[in-house]
Amino acid sequence: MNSKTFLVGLREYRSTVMTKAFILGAIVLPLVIWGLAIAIPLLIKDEIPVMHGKVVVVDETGMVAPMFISQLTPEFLRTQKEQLATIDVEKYLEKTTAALGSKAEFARPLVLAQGRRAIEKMRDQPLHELEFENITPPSSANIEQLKEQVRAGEILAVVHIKADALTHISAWLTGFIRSAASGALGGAAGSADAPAAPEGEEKSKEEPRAVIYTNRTMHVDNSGLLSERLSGAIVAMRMITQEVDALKAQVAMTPPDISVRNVTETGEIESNEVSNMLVPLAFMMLLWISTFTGGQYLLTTTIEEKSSKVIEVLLSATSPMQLMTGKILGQGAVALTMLLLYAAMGVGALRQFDLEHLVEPMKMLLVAPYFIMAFFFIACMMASIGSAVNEMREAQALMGPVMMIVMLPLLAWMPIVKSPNGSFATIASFVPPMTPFVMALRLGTNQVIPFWQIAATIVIGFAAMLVFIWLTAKIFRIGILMHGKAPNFMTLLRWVRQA
Amino acid sequence: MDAAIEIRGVTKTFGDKTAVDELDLVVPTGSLCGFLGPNGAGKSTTIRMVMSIFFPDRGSISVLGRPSAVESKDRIGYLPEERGVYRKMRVGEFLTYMARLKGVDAGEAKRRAENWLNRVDLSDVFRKRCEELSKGMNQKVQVVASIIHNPDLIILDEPFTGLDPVNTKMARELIHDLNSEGKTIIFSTHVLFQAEQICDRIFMIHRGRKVLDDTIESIRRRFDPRTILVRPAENGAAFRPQDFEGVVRAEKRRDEYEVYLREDADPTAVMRAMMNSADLRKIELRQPSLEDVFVRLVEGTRISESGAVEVVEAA
Repeated sequence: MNSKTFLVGLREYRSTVMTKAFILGAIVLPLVIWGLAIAIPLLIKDEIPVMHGKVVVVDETGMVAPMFISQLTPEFLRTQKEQLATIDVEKYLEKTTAALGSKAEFARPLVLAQGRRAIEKMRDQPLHELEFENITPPSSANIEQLKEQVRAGEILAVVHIKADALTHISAWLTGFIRSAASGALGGAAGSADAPAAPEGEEKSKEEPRAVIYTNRTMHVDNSGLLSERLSGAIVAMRMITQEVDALKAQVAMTPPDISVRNVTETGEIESNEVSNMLVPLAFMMLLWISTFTGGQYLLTTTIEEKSSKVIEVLLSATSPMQLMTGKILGQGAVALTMLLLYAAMGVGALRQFDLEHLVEPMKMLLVAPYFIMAFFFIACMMASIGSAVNEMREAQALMGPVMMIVMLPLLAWMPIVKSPNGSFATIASFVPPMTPFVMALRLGTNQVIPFWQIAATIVIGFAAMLVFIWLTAKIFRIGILMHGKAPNFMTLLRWVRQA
Repeated sequence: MDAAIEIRGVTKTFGDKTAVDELDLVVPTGSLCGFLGPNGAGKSTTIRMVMSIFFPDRGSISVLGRPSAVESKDRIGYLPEERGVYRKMRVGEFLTYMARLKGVDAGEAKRRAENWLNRVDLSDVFRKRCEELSKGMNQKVQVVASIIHNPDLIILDEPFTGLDPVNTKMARELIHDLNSEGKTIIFSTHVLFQAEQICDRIFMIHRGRKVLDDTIESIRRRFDPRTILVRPAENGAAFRPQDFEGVVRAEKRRDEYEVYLREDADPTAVMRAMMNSADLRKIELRQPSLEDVFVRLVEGTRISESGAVEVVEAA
């Protein structure tokens, strides 16, 4: 590269990047936001307050309360925590899941994962200082009066377990069981009068089988703990009364791991709805933000050089072409800085949430030619406009129509991502200023874009890029020395013919 | 190589406006030339073509023996009329940057920037931002930026605008010094007496065409004065200059007369006659100022059908 072009580019890069505005706006701010997004959940997690006080239990079943209480006594919580601190979690889980037997082998990974998560949560549990009062007989309890005491803060909570808590089966489950039974038997027995599921009777309308009354000062995690232990106690007592093997039930209820796979030439690809949508959007936004930041700076510096009249002083040393090329390359480096910075942050975020597999390194590399294209398209437009106008206000008027074309892939990202090989996406890929953005969207999806289309869009894109550069060189040469009337598109066309 | 710049038959149009029309111009190496013309005459366009910022529609330009300034930009110092600095950049940084752009290496560029700032009495601004400087100081920084790379050919477009008399004098001396070091200097101005004071050669263009291309002495000879200035003594109320032989008319300006002579009159004879007839405080044959020449050329120029420029001398 020509040394003058290099010097112009270097100055352009340094005067853009080494400013407080850039460091704050483009680097520090995103870093801070990114950092906070990770740090805040971690900070909040540790703030579960310790519960001190009395919990009154009104147990109409007469069977749940002891189990519930035993799970929450200070001694139990302490022992549990101590045990969890010392035991080898993996070994412990291994031992429990061994009881599953070979038939239930399939459920092992999920049971292990659930176990790990549960243990993790219990380890973080504060040591609550709770004392319990189990009112017997339950009929002697005055619920309204107890609620009043909760409101006044005299007791922490009232746990009211209704009489049918162990036997009641919710209406929708009854309906479900009935219709399943009639469907399965109906074909064989021809029974016409199988009772239908009670329509209109929804779960939400049912009376709850147990209520925990607390006042507003209770932390959600703590009321969550109470309801979780209560639910556990009710389920356990149900199993005992109905003689169900808890472990077997657990195995039967474990949701199977169902995977949706796309069958492609290169094998099967995991399909995930959310990542299918968001990864391509992230790809394009990365391209969009980085190239537009560079382009925007190019516009600003060009207008600045023009209005401060330093431009012709520079032309005493360089040719207009060297100046333009230097500026474009300098801002290209700015855009690349942004791209790498944000891409690194993105990859970092994916690592944090164990989602690295969503982005294939090959695709990241394929984005490179499209980045170059995208940047040159935008840089050329900005350089043309910046050289032609006298001030920012005039630039806005010229940028409107140009932005519409380039904004299109941003507005139409949904349909493109949903059918990346559909006719709209395919055609838009071959319309030059949109090419790189549409292709970034398409490549971001998990579908296979035909190779010929990648090759053809790169060829067409680069050809169009050269035309853009050629046009810009002509407009730039004349524009930078023009002062006065704000130009319109016709003026720019005339300059192209003139130069 | 005897011509620093050689312009042959150059024409440049913008749309339907002809800025420069069939211009021929030769700037001899080592000369100090003034490039004159009224506003909009085509001076800046010509200079921009010399600098390869614009390209001529027709004709050829050779600069320092090369067909285009692009190849010799590092040997040319150019101070454009439309000039400015990066407002946020530090003065020293700006000068170093400009020097480096013109091929001076980094360390040398910084050293030269410091030296030049000292030379133009701006030794304390090296670390200041350009926007902190006054307009005059900025002008000096600009001049330094245009010559910091020690060029052989220096083109200054309106170099004196914005300078106070002290700095104008300094700039004038600088131009003289550079010229005596053997550098070819061409500067444009519309302030004619400056050109008169400095240049040894004058080009004048008007409406894109050359109307004058000569040395100062030869111009003075060609535009032979036909005016005498006379100031009579206090008692000379009876002095009537219009009565002398060969005088067309006389105008009184305060206590002086401006006496216009007939074409065939001998100024020396008229002056002798005046001195013999009355007490005079002052009598002089007026030197034609460039301003007179300029006004005469511009007002009297018409382009004949053959395309040649005729100078019609206003009587």
